[in-house]
Amino acid sequence: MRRLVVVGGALAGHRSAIHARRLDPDLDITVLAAEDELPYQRPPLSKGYLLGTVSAQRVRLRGAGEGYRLLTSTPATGLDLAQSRVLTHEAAYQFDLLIVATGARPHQLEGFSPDESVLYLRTVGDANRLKEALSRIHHLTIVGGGFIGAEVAVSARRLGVEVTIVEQSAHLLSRAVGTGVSRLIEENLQQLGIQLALDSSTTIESVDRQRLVRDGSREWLTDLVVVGVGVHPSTEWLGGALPLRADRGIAVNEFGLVDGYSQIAAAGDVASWHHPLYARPLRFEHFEVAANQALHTAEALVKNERVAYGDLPFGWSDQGELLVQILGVPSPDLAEEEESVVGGRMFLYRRDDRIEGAVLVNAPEELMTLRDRILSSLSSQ
Amino acid sequence: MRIEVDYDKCQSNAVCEGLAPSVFEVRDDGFLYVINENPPEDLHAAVHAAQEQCPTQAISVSD
Repeated sequence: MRRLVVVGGALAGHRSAIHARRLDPDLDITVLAAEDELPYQRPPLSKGYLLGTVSAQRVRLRGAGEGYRLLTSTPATGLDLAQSRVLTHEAAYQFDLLIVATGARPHQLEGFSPDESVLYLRTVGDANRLKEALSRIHHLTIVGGGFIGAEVAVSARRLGVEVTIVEQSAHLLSRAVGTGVSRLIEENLQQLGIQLALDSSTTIESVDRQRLVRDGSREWLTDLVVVGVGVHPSTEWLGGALPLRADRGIAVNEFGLVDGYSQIAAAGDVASWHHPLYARPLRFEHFEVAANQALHTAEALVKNERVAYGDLPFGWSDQGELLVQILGVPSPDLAEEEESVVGGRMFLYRRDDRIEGAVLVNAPEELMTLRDRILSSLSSQ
Repeated sequence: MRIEVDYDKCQSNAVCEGLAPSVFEVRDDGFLYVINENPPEDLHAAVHAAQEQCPTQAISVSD
């Protein structure tokens, strides 16, 4: 019986295991999950889960732990390629086929070690701590103006907490989108009463039970600091066993197979995937990309029927009254141009004549047409 | 018409329910239910709108 080992028990790991089971009822499937949780959706953790409108039951993925052997609290500690084994603290797991879906982990900011008043949000455990804290604190400082920071800010504000976002760049989301989109997001946050400290160099020190944040000439006391300054692929455990690219993701081809291997694949945040539409490797941290790539890796490994992942990458962010939808790669270094649409806003990002990406703000009815337009633009040359 | 929901992607935003309440329903348990998998023709436009406007693109429709 062929043995499939999946390293990672989040969306990509769970979905690739479920799909592998569909493709081969006889496959022996083991999923190694680092957390002590059944597989769950992460997007609600910065939104409805904090507000209490989305329950712990609701975030769980359907069929979690069914159709495969799920080993929780079992992080992989190494990959022994010579003997085709994944190592953990307790045991070694022999594989014929391997899927790496270890996701990403938050960058840790120097001087901001996690403790009772400094928190990084990634897991449901982190979200539980944050949710509990939001019910009793007066002021929250968010270090890092990315999507997670903006979403947490909106949730906290809705719960009546005073919020300041500190960002070292001149704009929020400056690494993800152009300034037109950044400005809309900033305006929305400010209208909700959230303070923005941009162009900021921040220091932080303990004062009794609170933290004193200094930002240039300003300083304020805060009860909790949430750091959201991006993530990096969780590849440390591999100890260099698999090839990585400049974006720090595992190098995989358009089918999801790791460069140089036919029995090892990777999907989700950890994978630097060669994207046929863009003719270059790309790594995403989108929920939907991980969900779709997982199916491709299972097909490529289990069925040996390789189908390139050529979807137009899609992600979204809910920020109160603002729905931000991201298509493709809206790199901030590309020219941003706005086109008028009814009801909302639409921004396009071009490289030469090709539309490489776009952002919709409160214009979900434009999504399908825009997707087709970008797809045809990308494949026209 | 055949409606399929990818429940891993669904986040129960209930946009679909707003557009086609006789087809989609988000119940008190927080989960989306498709209450009419073969909606009559006069609802097809609403179902397509739900598919297009789902914030997480969890709905697929085949005719």
